[in-house]
Amino acid sequence: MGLLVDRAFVDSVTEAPALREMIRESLIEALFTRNDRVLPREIVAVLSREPSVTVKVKSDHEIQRLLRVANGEESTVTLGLPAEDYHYVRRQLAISKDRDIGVYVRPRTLTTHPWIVPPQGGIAVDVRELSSIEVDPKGHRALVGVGATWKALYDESVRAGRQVPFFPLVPLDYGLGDALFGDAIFQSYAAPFRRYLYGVRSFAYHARRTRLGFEEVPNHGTGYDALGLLQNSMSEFVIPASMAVGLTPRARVVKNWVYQFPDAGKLAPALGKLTGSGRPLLYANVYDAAGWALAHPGASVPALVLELGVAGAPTVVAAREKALDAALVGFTAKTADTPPFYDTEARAYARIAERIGRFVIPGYVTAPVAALPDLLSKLKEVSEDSIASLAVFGAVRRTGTVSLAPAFDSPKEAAKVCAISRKVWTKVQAIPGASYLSRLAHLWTDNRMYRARLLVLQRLKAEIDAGRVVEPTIPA
Amino acid sequence: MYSHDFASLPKIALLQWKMIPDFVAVPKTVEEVSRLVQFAYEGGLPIVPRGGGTGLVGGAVPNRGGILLDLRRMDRVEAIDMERRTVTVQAGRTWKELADIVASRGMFLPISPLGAPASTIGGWFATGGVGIGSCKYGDARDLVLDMEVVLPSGEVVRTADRFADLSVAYANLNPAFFGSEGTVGIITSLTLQVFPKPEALTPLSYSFKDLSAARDVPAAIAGSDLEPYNASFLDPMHLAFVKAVRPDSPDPQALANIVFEGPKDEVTASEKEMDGLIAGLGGKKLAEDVARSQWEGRFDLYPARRISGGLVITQAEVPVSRFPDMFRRTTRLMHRLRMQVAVNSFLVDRNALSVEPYFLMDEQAPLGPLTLAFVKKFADVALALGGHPRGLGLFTAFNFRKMHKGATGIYETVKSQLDPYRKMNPGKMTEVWTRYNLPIVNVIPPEAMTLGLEVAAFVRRLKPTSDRYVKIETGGR
Repeated sequence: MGLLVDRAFVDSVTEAPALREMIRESLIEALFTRNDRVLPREIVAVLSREPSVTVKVKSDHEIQRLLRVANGEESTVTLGLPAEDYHYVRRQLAISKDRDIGVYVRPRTLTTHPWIVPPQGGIAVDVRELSSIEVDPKGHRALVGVGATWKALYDESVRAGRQVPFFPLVPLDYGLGDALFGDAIFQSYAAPFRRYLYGVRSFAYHARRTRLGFEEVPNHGTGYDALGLLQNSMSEFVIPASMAVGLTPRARVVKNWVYQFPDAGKLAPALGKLTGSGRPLLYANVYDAAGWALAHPGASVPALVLELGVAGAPTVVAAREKALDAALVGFTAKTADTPPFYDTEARAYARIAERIGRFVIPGYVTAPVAALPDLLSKLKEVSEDSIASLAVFGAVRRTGTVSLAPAFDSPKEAAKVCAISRKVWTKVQAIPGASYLSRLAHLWTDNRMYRARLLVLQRLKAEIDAGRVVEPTIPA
Repeated sequence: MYSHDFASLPKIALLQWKMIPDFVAVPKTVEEVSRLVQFAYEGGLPIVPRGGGTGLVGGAVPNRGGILLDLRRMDRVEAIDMERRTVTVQAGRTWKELADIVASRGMFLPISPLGAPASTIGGWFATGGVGIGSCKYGDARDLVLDMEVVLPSGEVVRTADRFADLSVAYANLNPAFFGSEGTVGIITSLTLQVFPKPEALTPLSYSFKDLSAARDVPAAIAGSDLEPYNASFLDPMHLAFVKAVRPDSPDPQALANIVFEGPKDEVTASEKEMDGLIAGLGGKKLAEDVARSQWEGRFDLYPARRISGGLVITQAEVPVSRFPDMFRRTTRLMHRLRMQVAVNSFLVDRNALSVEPYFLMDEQAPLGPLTLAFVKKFADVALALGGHPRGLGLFTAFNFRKMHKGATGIYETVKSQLDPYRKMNPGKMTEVWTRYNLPIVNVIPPEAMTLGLEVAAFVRRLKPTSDRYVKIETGGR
């Protein structure tokens, strides 16, 4: 399920006579925690539903068939399932019944927490086996199944003499498709993921192939940027199957430099100089000591780490190293031989990611680099207030902003997640120029402009998914 | 002046479209724009927004009269935030003026259109802006954080949260207006990301004795670990056109104009690396003053218009690896249609090359407009090679379905949901309107336009002589 479905549900619940008097934020908390002391039984029932079946698809053709089933155009006979599975699916979906069957894509890894409204019966699509990776031997791009992990693409690209130019903000074992139907954030120092996403092969509700964008070149001057418009919530409009992403050539020299800083007061001005220097980087990651230790088991650092990925021609990189050492005033130690976390062997990478995934990561905070000390101290306040230790993962962009994903060592109970998220949101609002991206904040935000924008997207969804098949909206 | 844009339009087009607006309004504020949009709605008139009129495909030219909004008076710089490195500006300011203003504050507006002295901020975004500097800094989408837009209902909305990281922000409507050609809303103000002014900016020019070597240069640069700020490639025919009107300009030759910007030490090191790369491909480095004059003349690429009085530019993005194919097929097309065409190009990113052929057209000659067949045939070549033509407007909307195939319905939905009464710059993207608001003849089916241009191509092929505006003697042609 997704952003628009949750939002529509919350908006419709606020209109319910029994709940109209409740404060919106309290109501959202009640929905998120499924508080049956506050909510009517029917609403709790909606929030407790599960998909009728989960189908692990192995090819995009199978997605097409599932959509046909959901449309009532085909029985499950054509699914190619063994007899017992066929009867199971048919019974579970109640094919002969006259009701909507939704198709829901399941993200591989969620950074934060599940959506409020779960699949209402229907078919959950597990895309983990849509994991093919084809690196173009002539160009710098790859066609990747939405279930392929970012790490697999990274490794495959290195083998093919290419470089994946975008990196996960939180070191979790994401599928590439999690950027389209989950909450994974990929970016480089230079650009957002959007710039590297050329196109998505998908299926519309009527099971016809729908390619958004292009596969070999970016879209400019070809009409509305539908790909960009739907990117963050794509599975609410179409079912994505594979994506074309841009790569870069693997440079002759690729380095990973790690600078240690004693405190944020020293790191922030260094980041200001870095982003103002015009020096190209692959990535500029920020960790606190706990975050660094999680991503690099056995290693310890005093306070804060700035990790820079540098690639280029040998003479250019040599010039860059000297200049960066001079610009990053205030660092206490530098290592040039620490391999990047991304180079970790795949199974070890997955194990580390799994450990980080146990933390509560309520959302992402973006702020100007100058606000980093304030931001970190406010996150520490949340940590102390919530009695949950804090680890920080972050990345800097050359625009002069830093995005942080605070990870709290707390049980993933809905009430606690909601409370932590709320505290982070409250603190961030006090920092000028900062924003907080989380699915709960998306529901809490209720200003006129935000509502107007969501209304446009909701109208688009109603029209693009006219058959009410692709993660249909659920009225309360 | 409002009945055409930069491209030449044959007079015969007046039979098909009412290109002269009924009214021209010159608003200064967003409130005025909103009221005009509401007035258009009440009066049942189409409304066409227009910036600097530098478009190439008739996107800002009326097709059924109506109200034309000239937005150039909306040119106020509303705020410059040095700390957050942003500038907020009304949509009618030109890119060149804004770049100069930003530069005077020690900042850098890193990308700009080729028509920057006249092209407006809102206009270029609405046409899917990609141009000088895109190779390193991306396109206009990467720069625009937030916009103020008047929707067809007259409602004024902000499209995003200017503080959010737009790559992941929820409910970001900026993409709906990128490349929209003003068909779903009128952009009135934009907040743009700017960057610190680079320490050095060094233009370099390399020449090639024949085109076969130059054809491999884009792929070599894209496949290298260098990161040029801009990399453009000029055809000998282009320089022949320019020489015909400016005798002191360089002789016809294939030119690669590469620009590096950034810290001085890295620019110097990159220059040396590039010298080595180009020397390996048989290129010769030209003197610094030639490179400097090429860079300074970047916004003035088409003086050859004076030769014939008319000039048509067409654009496409093709995979870099297919550029030699593209060049071969375009040259063959040029010979078949008996035309002189200059094929300039620039790198969009590591995979894409923007190929921009242009030709001269005598608008007064009875068979002059037949050369427009080239536009159609060139778009077909781009599509066949995995790319796409760029720009949608009166003359190119017929490409729309060919480009988007199964996704066409999604694009149509964007239009129908945002502009249900079809009054905002209508009939130029998902369908082509004529001037006649009568059944059957009110819309030109894409197939009919395609057929018409195919017939034009056929007639061109029967022409006994080739168009010859300039004489060129080079190894390439």
